[in-house]
Amino acid sequence: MIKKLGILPKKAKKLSASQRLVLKTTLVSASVLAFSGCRDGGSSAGTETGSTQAVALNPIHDITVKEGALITLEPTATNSSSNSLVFSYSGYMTKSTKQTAIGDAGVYSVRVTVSDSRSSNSQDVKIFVYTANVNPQALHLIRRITFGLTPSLYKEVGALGIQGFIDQQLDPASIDDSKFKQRIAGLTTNTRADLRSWTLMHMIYSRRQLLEVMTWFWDNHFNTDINSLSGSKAINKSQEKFERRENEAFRGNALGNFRQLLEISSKSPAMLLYLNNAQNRKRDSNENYARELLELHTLGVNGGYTHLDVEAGAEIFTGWQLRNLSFFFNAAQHNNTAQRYLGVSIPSGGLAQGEQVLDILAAHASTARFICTKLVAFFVNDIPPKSLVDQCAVKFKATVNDPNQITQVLRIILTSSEFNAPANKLAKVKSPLEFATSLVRVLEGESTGQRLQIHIANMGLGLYENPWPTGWSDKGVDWMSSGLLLERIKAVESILRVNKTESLRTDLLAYFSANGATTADAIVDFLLTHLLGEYPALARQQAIAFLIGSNGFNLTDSNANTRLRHLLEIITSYPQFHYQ
Amino acid sequence: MNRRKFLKNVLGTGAAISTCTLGNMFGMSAAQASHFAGTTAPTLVVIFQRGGCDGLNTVVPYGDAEYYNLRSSISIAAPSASNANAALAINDVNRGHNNFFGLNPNMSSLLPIYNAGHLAVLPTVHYPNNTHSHFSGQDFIESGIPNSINNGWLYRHLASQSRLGGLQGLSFGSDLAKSLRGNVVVQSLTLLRDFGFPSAAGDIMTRLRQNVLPLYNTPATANPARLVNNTGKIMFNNIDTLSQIDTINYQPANGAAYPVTAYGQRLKETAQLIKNDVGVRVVTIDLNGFDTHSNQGGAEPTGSHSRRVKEFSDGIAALYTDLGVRMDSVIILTMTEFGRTAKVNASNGTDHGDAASWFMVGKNIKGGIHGRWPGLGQTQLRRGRYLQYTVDYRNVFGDILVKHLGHTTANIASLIPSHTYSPVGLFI
Repeated sequence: MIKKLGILPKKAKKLSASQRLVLKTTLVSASVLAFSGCRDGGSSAGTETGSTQAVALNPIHDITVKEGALITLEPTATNSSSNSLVFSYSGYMTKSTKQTAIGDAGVYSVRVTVSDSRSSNSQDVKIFVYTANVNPQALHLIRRITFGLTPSLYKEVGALGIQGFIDQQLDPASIDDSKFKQRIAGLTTNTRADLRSWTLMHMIYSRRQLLEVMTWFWDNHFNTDINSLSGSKAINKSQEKFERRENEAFRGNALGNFRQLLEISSKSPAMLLYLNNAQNRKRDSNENYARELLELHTLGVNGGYTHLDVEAGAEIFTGWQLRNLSFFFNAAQHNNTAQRYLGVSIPSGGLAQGEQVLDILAAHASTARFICTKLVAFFVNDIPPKSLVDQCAVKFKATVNDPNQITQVLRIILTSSEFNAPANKLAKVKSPLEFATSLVRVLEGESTGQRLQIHIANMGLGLYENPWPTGWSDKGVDWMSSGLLLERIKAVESILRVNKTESLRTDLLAYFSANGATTADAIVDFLLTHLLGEYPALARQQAIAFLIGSNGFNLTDSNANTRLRHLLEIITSYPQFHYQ
Repeated sequence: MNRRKFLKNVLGTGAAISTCTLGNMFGMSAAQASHFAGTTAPTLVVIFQRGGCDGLNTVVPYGDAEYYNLRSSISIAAPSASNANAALAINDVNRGHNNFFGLNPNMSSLLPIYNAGHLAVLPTVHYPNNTHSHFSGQDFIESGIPNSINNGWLYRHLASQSRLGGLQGLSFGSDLAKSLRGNVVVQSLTLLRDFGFPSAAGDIMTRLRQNVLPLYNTPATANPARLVNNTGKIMFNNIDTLSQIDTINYQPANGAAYPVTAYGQRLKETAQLIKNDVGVRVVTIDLNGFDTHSNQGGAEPTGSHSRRVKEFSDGIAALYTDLGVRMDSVIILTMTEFGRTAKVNASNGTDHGDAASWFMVGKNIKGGIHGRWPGLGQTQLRRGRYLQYTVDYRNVFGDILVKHLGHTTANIASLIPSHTYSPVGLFI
């Protein structure tokens, strides 16, 4: 019996965390019945008398502590001879106490050994160290430049430091993403559902998070709708291919140069179809693309263009069409007359006319302001601080020809005092996409995205299916409505109840154990820290009141999983879970 | 996807809520509540045709010969008994519109309403200084104030009568309509039938009320806390009332047939909200898909524009029919951000233009055709391309605010600032 206790943790290694906890508790309580040994008061040496049996440790409970707390082991032993007892420690601890530090979160093992002159006895003790400490700056940065915090990413940022993480994310090639590449290696994108899944996988699982955030930013900025049908069956069947091609091209240049991004969009079959440029013919041109190019992609509605520029642009882009499912300049449909565009003379020149327009637009002062306003609103505050927009616009304009123009602009934003100003922390509201990805990521579960995309659509955001050329709004007022708020709560309820990889599969008991949170207080603190970051005392009171209730809470309770699921529903329904 | 709605908090089924309940819910006395809970309380349903509906192929000016010169490939023929795709004649001899306008033939469901004198047709509504931007245009129309966002004209109306809170304003759609945006959050619904939890969610509402609602009730002054908390409070406040309404077994009255689309469902649910007397006074509904830059089609029912105006009209007719006598106190107003270019483009579509066709349905209105026709001749069009407006939309709002929603003419200056109200004369 005594030996069994000693070796139990080793044997339990192959069991799941929940099974292990069940066994541990069973045996610990059994031991209470089996032994009535004396305590030695916690000293590291003790004396036992009146026995000739081998020395044996009394069972030691696993320990759960918050990062930064002092761990104290107080082992006792029984059935010893009268020799002096010596306690020793190996593994995570080398003496009876250990001061934990921020960043230590994890599950550790300590081997406690008691010995007297004739015999010794060891027991492995699990030490659960959980994070419930907030580094507000790290949390803020993670929230804004990723699709959501994960407990492991939080640790990684702790190790890299704030500036280290910014540098790493601004240099995506330096990030080993082989695991993610493996994950998506077999995925096809021949259906809309598969395309959306493929896209979500990038957002959830790639380690190049800022690259993915910016890929989404540009794909949304240059919005296209996969339902833009044309008269051609071959074209209609290729919509998924067009969207994927465009998405990959944006990813390839997401931190790059705006002029390149603009050309990717202008020649993308998805855009040519969506804003009707593929049907734009000389004589009575179609103004759809020419207008949105100015209003939404570059200068902005008050950026200083007139109806004359829209009309000239429409003529200049005549003949930008599709052939063999790719961009094709059809000179026969191009109005090759000289035009005046934004005050610049554009001589006749076929395709070069449109390319000159892209040059003019990319270098225009209003474009710098418009794009920077949008970027600052996206990363900092729905009401973008003017001081930062000004700074970014100067950099944007000065780096118009640089291949890493966007990287340079983002570096200004992310290292600015405005970015880190207290007023801008937790100042934004998650979009439905950010809401869903943040849930999946924080629970570090498995998702194929297939069902998840339907939840996201129910919350109001249909990936690749926005009919409006504005793209999806990034502003809180456009997402926070009583109808959509209920959809968010419904989505979490369904995702956690169904618990399948189509939306999210997670083993909550294993999750909390792996993150060192094994008591009710630790679980609540861990969740509040990782899901909310900063929160009012009432949030904790309500969560504790629910989880402990009148009967207490133990991970080994038969309904523990259901209770944890309900706890997650409650915390994700708090107002604070919608902030970012 | 299972879209069935399950009742999660059974408070009773189908029965109208008592005035007393409403009074308590909105923090008013029963006497105050009865003022608006009665079946004769004036109600406004606003339908926004998003994308810029092509007015010239909606209300066809077949009497203007230029129409056929400008639009040969997509024009709609003058009324003719032998042509099923011809425009449907609507005359208004009193206002001098005879043998000139016809409805798109796919809008035949509105014809009986027109003939009953319950449909006002406004073919030339718009505003000055049009930028031809969808978004600036929608913002201006929904606000009623230039360059103003999150300050909706319907919001100002409700606020001025202390009618915020509860369900007095209700916006269908993902986001809250800009016309209903302001400091106090107004209820929005994707669909009424989805506004509740599936039965599999069990007693989640009990937990939410107990452990989550207190956080939404925490005072908040700064955004996003204020926005999120106010939204949550409205949601918790209205969910019981709304989930009492049985959307699954509802049978429209008088043989009304709604389009089987989200738009049709929203109109049907609007009828239910009105009939259930939940206190609703203003409802907004969107219909998308009017941005017909290419291949918009002509009169044929398969054309993209024609399909949209058929859904649009059938939905309005169904609501009018379904409401029956309840229609006595209801006005339906339709709007769009702009009309489209007079001339068809080379891809058989039309681009962003100026004046648009708006409609108003009601029992106590002056049915017929309102607004002078400015003409489609080269010199009559603005810049040779755009149909001029002869009715400022803000005057339409003014008529409704004064004649239907209980404001004095003097009030209009504060409800629609930076505009001098001049009545259109839409009401008896």
